[in-house]
Amino acid sequence: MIAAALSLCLLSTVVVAPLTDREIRIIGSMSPVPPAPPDTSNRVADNPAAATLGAMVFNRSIFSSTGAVSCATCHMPGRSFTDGRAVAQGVGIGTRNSPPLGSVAHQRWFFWDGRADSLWSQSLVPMESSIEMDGARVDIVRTITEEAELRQQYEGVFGALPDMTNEQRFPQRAKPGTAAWEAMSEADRTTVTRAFVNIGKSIAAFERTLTVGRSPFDRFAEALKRGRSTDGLLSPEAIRGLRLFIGEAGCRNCHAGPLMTDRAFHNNGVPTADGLFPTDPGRAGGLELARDGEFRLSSVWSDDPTGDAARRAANATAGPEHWGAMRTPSLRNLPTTGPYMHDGRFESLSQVLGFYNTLEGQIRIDHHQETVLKPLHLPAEDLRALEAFLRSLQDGAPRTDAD
Amino acid sequence: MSPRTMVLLAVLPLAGCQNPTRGFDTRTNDDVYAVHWNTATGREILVDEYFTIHASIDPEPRSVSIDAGMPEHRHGMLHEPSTRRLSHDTWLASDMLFHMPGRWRVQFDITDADGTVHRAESDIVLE
Repeated sequence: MIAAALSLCLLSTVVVAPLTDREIRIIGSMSPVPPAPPDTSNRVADNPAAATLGAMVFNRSIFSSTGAVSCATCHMPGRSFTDGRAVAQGVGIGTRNSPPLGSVAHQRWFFWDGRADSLWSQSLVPMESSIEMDGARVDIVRTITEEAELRQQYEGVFGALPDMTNEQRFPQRAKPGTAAWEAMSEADRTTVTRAFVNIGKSIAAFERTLTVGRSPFDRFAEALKRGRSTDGLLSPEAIRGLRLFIGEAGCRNCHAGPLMTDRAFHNNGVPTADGLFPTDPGRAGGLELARDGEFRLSSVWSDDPTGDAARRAANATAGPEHWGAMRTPSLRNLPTTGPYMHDGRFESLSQVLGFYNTLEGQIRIDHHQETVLKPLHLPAEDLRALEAFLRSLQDGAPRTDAD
Repeated sequence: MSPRTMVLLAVLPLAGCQNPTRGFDTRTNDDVYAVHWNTATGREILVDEYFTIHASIDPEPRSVSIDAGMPEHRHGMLHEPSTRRLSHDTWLASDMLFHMPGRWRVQFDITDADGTVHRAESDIVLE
């Protein structure tokens, strides 16, 4: 009995042990989420009228070939701007999970494989992708000219739209890679592309307003930083999970900072459906696409083609470790952004934690793969604690700054 | 003091705790060159924040290339830094970024007049 009482006492001591100075410092580095960094490549990045236009385009399905798909089809506001599906479904079915958009403007690279180096260039890809919206830039710009509300909003930001009533000069379904596009004059192609890029910059201006709100973890971190009582702000189980997250479990190796991502690419060997070697090249393919991208930061379409971001993007490193590597996702609003992993492999957080705990089914591509990833072998109560902490990162839903 | 604590105390200085006011000293593996380096601002290196390295190298080399990586993770930085000469023996590497916490190894590849490359390394642990 005495032994039992003693062990209870010891257990209690472990649970309520005060956070160390190091832990408090690290927790302070994880909150709050700061304002989005400036984007000099987009001159309307913080223009409210451009953001309004971007929101209008984001939510309308008239730009897709079927008239049924918009950006919001896969990025639903009520689901932290995800769609709840394992892989995205637009005009066709994709191969990757729709990422959330909360505080997306903090990223350096976009898409799971980082094939876009700016938010505005990212937003243009799904509009013309045959499996997403399957639009064509000539039709997209023409739609703006024909819809009075859109046209007024566009011209208020960017000036007059071109006259696109002549369908011989501006043929339907014309976009790069089509004969119709090649048949257009270079001047007309440039005119259309300029307006298309402006639309992308407007969508980016809107997406920059999608910021994650304060979560229970943020309230805990703020109280800690200010030396106030943290009583009741996080459950003891979540605090234990937080300590595991920044300590023994090593989650913070990749999930660091306020967004809990290093904004880099890693191959964690997540198992494939058939257990075979993965066919998705990940970052290895994404970097090639980024370097060759029509709208890369160093292109004429950027508003700062020689700036720091353009130079750094042009100097991005590529190596064998990038094959199959995917961008580390932010963990903000994690409970409402499932399924998880780049291919929506896991439906629940407990499945994700279970994978990292055992690495069961992990696919080792080669010796260049992450070597710090070792099975955690944590007991069930530790996994529950980690999940409790991850659930404390939920703010309800991303909000716009106007909320 | 527990044996574990003693080991930690013994290892920490070797692991490269930052002392931004003094900078870092290292030598090439063959002991030919001495490298003293610091951040250009003299401030501590932080996770996910760009910084510039200012390096003094003695004796004067023909050229220097500066890079960094994480030995345990077997990867480098997200992009290549730009190294340029400031004076006969000082060099600047900009666009340095340590995007993850953990141990980073800064590498100085120093080319002498004969074209031989000598490597110096410094380890830094970022919290």
